[in-house]
Amino acid sequence: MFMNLQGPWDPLFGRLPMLLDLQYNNPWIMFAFALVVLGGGTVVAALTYYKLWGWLWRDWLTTVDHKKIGIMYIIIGLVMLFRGFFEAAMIRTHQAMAVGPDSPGILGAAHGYLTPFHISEIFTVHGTLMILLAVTPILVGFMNLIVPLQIGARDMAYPFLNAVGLWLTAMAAGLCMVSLFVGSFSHAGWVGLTPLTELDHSPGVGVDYWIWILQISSIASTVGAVNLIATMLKMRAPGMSLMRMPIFSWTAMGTNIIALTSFPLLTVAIALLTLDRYVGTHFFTADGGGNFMMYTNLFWLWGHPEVYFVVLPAFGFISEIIPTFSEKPLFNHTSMIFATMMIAGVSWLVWLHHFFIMGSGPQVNTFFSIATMLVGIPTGVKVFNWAFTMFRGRVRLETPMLWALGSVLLLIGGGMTGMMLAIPAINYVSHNSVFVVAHFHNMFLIIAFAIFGAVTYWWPKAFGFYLDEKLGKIFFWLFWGGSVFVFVPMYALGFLGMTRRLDYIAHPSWWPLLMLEVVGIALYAASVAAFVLQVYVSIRDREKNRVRTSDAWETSRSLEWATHCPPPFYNFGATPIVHSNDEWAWRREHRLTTLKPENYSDTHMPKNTAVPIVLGFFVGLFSIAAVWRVWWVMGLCVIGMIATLIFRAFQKDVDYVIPADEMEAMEREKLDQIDHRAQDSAQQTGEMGEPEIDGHAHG
Amino acid sequence: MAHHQSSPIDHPEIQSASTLQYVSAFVLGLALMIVSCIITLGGGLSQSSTLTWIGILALIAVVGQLYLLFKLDLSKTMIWHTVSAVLTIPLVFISIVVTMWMFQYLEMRVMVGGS
Amino acid sequence: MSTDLSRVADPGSIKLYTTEPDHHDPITLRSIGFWLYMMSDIMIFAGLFAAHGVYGDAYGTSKITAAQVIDPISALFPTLFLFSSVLFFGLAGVALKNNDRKEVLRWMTAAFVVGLVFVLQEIWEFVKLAQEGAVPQASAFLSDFWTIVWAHGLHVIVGLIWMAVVLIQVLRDGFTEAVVGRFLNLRIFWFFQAVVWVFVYTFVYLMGVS
Repeated sequence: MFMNLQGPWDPLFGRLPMLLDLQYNNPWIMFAFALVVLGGGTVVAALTYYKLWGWLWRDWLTTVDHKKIGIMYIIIGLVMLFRGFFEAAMIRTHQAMAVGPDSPGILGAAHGYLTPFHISEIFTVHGTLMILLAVTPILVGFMNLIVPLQIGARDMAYPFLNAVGLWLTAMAAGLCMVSLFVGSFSHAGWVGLTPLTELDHSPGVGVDYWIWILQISSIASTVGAVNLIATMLKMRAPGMSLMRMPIFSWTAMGTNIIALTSFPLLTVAIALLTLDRYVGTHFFTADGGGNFMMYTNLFWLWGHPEVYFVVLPAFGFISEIIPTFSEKPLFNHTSMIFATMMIAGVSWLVWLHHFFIMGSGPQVNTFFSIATMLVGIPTGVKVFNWAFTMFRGRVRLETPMLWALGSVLLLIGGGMTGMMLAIPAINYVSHNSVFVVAHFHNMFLIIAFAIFGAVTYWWPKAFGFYLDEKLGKIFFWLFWGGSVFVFVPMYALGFLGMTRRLDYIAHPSWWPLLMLEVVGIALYAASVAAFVLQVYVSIRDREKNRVRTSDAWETSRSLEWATHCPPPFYNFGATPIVHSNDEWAWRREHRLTTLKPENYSDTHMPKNTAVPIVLGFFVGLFSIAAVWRVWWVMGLCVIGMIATLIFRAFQKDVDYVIPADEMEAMEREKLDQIDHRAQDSAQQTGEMGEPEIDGHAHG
Repeated sequence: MAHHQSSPIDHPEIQSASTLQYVSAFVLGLALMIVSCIITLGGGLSQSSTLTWIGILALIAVVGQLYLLFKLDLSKTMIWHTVSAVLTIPLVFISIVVTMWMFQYLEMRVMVGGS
Repeated sequence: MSTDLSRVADPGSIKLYTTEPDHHDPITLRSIGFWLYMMSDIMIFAGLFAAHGVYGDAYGTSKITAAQVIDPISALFPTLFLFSSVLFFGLAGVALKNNDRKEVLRWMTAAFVVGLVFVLQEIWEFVKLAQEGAVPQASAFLSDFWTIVWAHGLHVIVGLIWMAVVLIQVLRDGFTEAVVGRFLNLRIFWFFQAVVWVFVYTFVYLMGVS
């Protein structure tokens, strides 16, 4: 229909008959397939053996609890991060192997072990997946998990929509996994360079997979943004004015304002490309009046705000961790809020710096160059605020603090190289070199460091026990070493003139630096092992590492520490009233850390629902059908989606009430546990320490 | 849901409905579109001044509609609606106007696109 | 910090937790969320119009120009239909304010029918264009023209489906909180279609022939 497709197509199976011609002889894909089958099989077997399917369905898959949804987002993100790491390791080892004309080639490649098409697929999927399916879900997960707790809300504004966002993201991740084994993936870079992504130049299904992954995760992010902004505007606890909102929540606000307004532009860019590929329009073609720079323009109109979308929550993590482990309030809370919002605002005026060399002239380039440099001002404010927070504080170098400090150090390096790239004259020389790649990986490492800091920092809140401190530190130092060894040589290679996305290195003198990068990758691999071991050991020894009170780090400052670890599904027994910027620190200073309110009241909670996962199923099936152009399945799925939404609109029984006495009973039990633990530890240490929570004092 | 102390119809966003304002929005919108149409087809003006004038009329129509239909103001119920609209409108203009500016220079210099 | 220790005379007297059930106005909560979604939706049109600014005269090798496919006078009819539909829906809102179910149903039906006429008229118009060979595959300008008008058209179609759902719910359940909230969001959505149409008419239809 509409288009002349290469290869077979029939009305019933679409392009699926293409698969009959493909040969599965690539050992890498077989290896990945075996890994997925083994991993997935183990999970399925374990669920069946322990008869956990009902539990999984009731407690997780149909949940609308923001904390569980947040945790599921983070799990999706970490799994994808793991896959992205594999791809990074393949690119690095392949490039180190394919240096010079005499380098060996195996597995059908002339040099190295990956054919040119295959390595193109790998760097494309690495970029797409790391940005949209690893970092974004992890950050959205943390915002889900922490923001409602920080602002003293019982749930998000729209728990149902929240679950819809999760299942759309899950479908995008699923589609990415399917593309690994069924068909191929795009080879056109994660930005999808036009007109290379047009059907004439990429006749396979790879680009279609990439299109639908971007489209679905873009819609999921928009939905999530609506939810988080409305939650922060309307659901704050009494007394919490906007200016009293903790910085992580403020960065979540900035991030979601960006998401709300910029993701639609990705939707447009991708939708127009979809029309080009599916209907035969001429938006980005080289003929018919099309303008392929228009795609780049629309893509980066989203793409640059997206950069700040991912970096702002990382700044939020740092801003929560540093005060806690410096035992001081954050230096100048208000300037931090303004810096955050200014970064969000300026993010809208810099997109052309991704394609200075398009050639729109000195006037235009100057405008965008200056706008880009302006970003340095609020970012500098943040760095100084963090530094002044630590100044004369009692700095404790526990694992989260190490990650936060590493993140700030990387920000200085990444920021400096960013300033260099913001100068068009330099950019004309370094565009498309690995210097740029090193720069933006440096920036993404800030986020990765902040994420691992946040994982360690909020793990005891989410699960009620600490992560192993010693393995955590080993993980940190290995990861830090990996970052240095991979990216410092990469900066150097960029200066030497190495371009990005190479499948063969013609310059043998670059080999030593490439080998140093392989050393870095080995350190990264070791760090991944350390992380897995850390999680395993911590779960094994969870009874030993139990959190005693609500305040796991004992110097925490915001409201998420004013409830149990892990927080119950209703978050707070009674909604806290806020008196200060750092409410929990304020209560601790005034010895008001009781978790027992004067009385409990009836509480409304949303009911679990299967509608989001059903909707996700239709969306997932729709996108697979779209990739393979099975029109009738697409049609049925659209009808299915509309029917599901209408069904939801007619559902009346969507929430329920927890009566006050039931709430009191549940809280009683949890408070007793805290008392017991306090007594136990007092007996162990042989002295009566000061219990953090005096459950009876103000009863 | 929980709070049955008042009927949903008493909600200020329902109570703000007004026949007069909706009729005015209708008349204003239609009249301005007809005037724009006459300006364009009348052909008395140069292309750039036609575009300026119909742009101004469209702006008046949109601002009028935003005010008359949505009742955007600074009241407690509507403040965040107003703030989000005020923050979004510049972004709409940035993305449209700056894009056109960029591509105008691009076409002059490298002759990509166009006819 | 705005409250400090020196001003806390008796820490025991400070109220730490609310004693009343939480109250979040559910209708406002719904409407602000939907409004935020509309801001996002407007950005979709911003992207499309940004593209339109570049594709407005990108005919490629095609002989079909904007002036040949666009007739601003006949496009005043869809303008009239859409604005009337919005007006009727507004009047349904006035009837809701007066708690008059019959009037609400009557005006909503009117808005639905006129909205449907708008869509059918647009389909008829574009079928005619396609028969003349002005298909979206012919040039970048035509791709852009079809996409912008039908991006708006798709919104109207979604609005009509939604309106049918709300109509049935008003008929069945009366003015419950959920139904009123949904009505309010639909009203925001429907009114926005008129706002977007002002842009479509001015910058696609009129600009195309100027």
